[in-house]
Amino acid sequence: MACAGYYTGLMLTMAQTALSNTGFGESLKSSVGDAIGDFIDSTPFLSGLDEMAQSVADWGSEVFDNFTSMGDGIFNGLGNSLTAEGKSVLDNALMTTAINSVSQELLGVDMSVYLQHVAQANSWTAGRNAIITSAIIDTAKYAYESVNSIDSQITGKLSAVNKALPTFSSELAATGSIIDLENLNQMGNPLNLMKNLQVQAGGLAVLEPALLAQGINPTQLTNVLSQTNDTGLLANLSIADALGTAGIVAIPEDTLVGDILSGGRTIYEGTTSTANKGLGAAIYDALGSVQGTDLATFQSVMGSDVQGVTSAQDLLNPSKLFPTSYESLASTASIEKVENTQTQQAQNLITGQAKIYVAPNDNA
Amino acid sequence: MASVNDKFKGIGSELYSSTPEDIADANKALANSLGQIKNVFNVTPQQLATVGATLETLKGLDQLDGKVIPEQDTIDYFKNNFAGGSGQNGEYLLTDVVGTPTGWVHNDELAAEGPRLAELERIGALDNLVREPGGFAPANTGNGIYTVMKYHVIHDSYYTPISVVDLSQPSGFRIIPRWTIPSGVYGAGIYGSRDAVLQALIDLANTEITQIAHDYPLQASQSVTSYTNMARQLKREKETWSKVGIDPASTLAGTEQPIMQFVTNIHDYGNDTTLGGKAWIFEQLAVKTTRGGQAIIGAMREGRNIQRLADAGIPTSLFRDQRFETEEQATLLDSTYTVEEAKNSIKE
Repeated sequence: MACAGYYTGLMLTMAQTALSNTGFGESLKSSVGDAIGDFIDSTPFLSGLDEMAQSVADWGSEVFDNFTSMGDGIFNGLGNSLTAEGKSVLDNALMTTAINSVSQELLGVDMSVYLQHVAQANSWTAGRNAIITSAIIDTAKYAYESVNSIDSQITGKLSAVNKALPTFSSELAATGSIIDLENLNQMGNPLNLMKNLQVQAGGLAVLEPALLAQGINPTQLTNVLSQTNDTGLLANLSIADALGTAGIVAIPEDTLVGDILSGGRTIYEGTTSTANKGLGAAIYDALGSVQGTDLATFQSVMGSDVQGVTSAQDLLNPSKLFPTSYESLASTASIEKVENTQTQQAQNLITGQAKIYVAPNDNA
Repeated sequence: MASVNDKFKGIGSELYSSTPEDIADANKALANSLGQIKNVFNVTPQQLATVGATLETLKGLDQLDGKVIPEQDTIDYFKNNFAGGSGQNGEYLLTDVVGTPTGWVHNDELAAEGPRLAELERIGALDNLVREPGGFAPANTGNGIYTVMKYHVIHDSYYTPISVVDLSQPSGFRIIPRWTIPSGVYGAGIYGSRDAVLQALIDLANTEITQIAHDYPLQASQSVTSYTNMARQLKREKETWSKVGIDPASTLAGTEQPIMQFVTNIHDYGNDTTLGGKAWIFEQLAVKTTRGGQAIIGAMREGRNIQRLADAGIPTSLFRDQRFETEEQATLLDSTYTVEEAKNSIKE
């Protein structure tokens, strides 16, 4: 069956010429041969040197090497001399003779010889360049990678987090949805845990008593969390600034003091100074009161099964989240910006790994 | 009880208003660590835990475990021993291996050197070296050093043997070889060997070349650079052949297969427009005045256009139909039963 093939009209034309002629036919010819011819013809003495070299070589002169070195390093063209460097690998000859010799060796007696040499060279240079460039190019790009041990590289950096992969993985699985990998920069932020809980449970019901005890209106907190992704900002605001007066509820020991804020808003002021307390700290405190069955419910909602925790605060503590493997948790000790010349972008260069937790007097 | 490493103190300060400082620092350190994992933002902890439980480390491989690999000595090895090409970073160009026939390096250098020498000759700067008054005149005192050398080397014009009495010889005398360059001619003197004459003239030539170089330092320096470049190109090629496996003496000649492959690969060759690459090589070598030579260049251009059109989503119909075997069918043995044959083949 006929099908669209390899050959075009131009290819068939070049094939005809290449295959129907002997030697190099009418397809290819040495380019350097013409250049040498032009060079020799440019001044008569060069052809004279060429003729003499042949004769001196023929009589087996012992000073042939001196003849082909005339002017070397001083004014080579005047002797058409092959340099000492060239003579280290080439037959003793004038420069143009040496060039012709190498050219003829490569070209061979017909086109097929040179084409084989090109194919061999092509394969070799590709392989060589691949290893050269892999080894030495763009070291800045790989500086980020290579400061980590090969161990961490072949594990996709997981072993850089914790080398005890089986235990760490088991404990990571037990954290369920507590660790929000999508918002790693907010790891440990109580507000982020709240938002995460809200996503998992559709609200903050399990925390309502604890929040109310902190003077926080769960409904308003839910509303605010729904409208922001920047839990980092929220955590550092006061409750009043973060949630407004609607977010504050009276707690038993508070006293209604009336319109103490502008705009006629009502606020309570009590021993806990609810309005001015940081929202993050308040949430953290609220989490501390989530214990027992409430904690079990919390974990159930989050799909976690972290062992040995006594309150929901512990779910923000890496040493509690990874009760066994925390001792081998590691991180980047310091980070500095480096300029990647290849991409013209700054990258973080990790300058070292260190255990996150250390025993007293352990500097590792 | 373990505590947060001092090295991480302060990195979690953003959360100090919310949680105890050590917890904030530990969380930030852990977040940084997890952040190294590529695409971690798009996986779940469960996915991470599942794969983490299956991953292998280099435990027990003490030469590797905990090391930064490749180590500097590995990089240095390739930098110092492998990166010997003339391309950037020491990368090899195809012409570093098979470039001389194309004139790579040489054509440019020769094209510069020729006019340089011709100009010096034209202004008479090379007279002491190359002057040739004309006629066949070995004794002409106007001959330049190379001219004298030519009379000696090509014509042996200064051979003046002498006969001396030697009764040990059947003829009663023997010939003593001797070369005499006349007074006033470069190298004037009497020599006992042909090589001695040549060496004397070589020495004179070197002295004269040194003088010319002194008078024309720019041209001399350019010439040395040109010849150095050409020699290095030749050396690089020759030294590379053994690594490549090129042994010109044993390369089979007269075979069709390399040509067929050349033809079928010509489009790929055309698309290798790298410095000293295949497109450049075959543009240099193709005979530009014949249909066959032009077809090589044309086919490479065709290959590049096919790629460009393909990149733009435009197909081409340049390739001619082909088949690998004839459409005519062979007659094979009968393999079907007639009713009669089938009936008879059934055993009761």
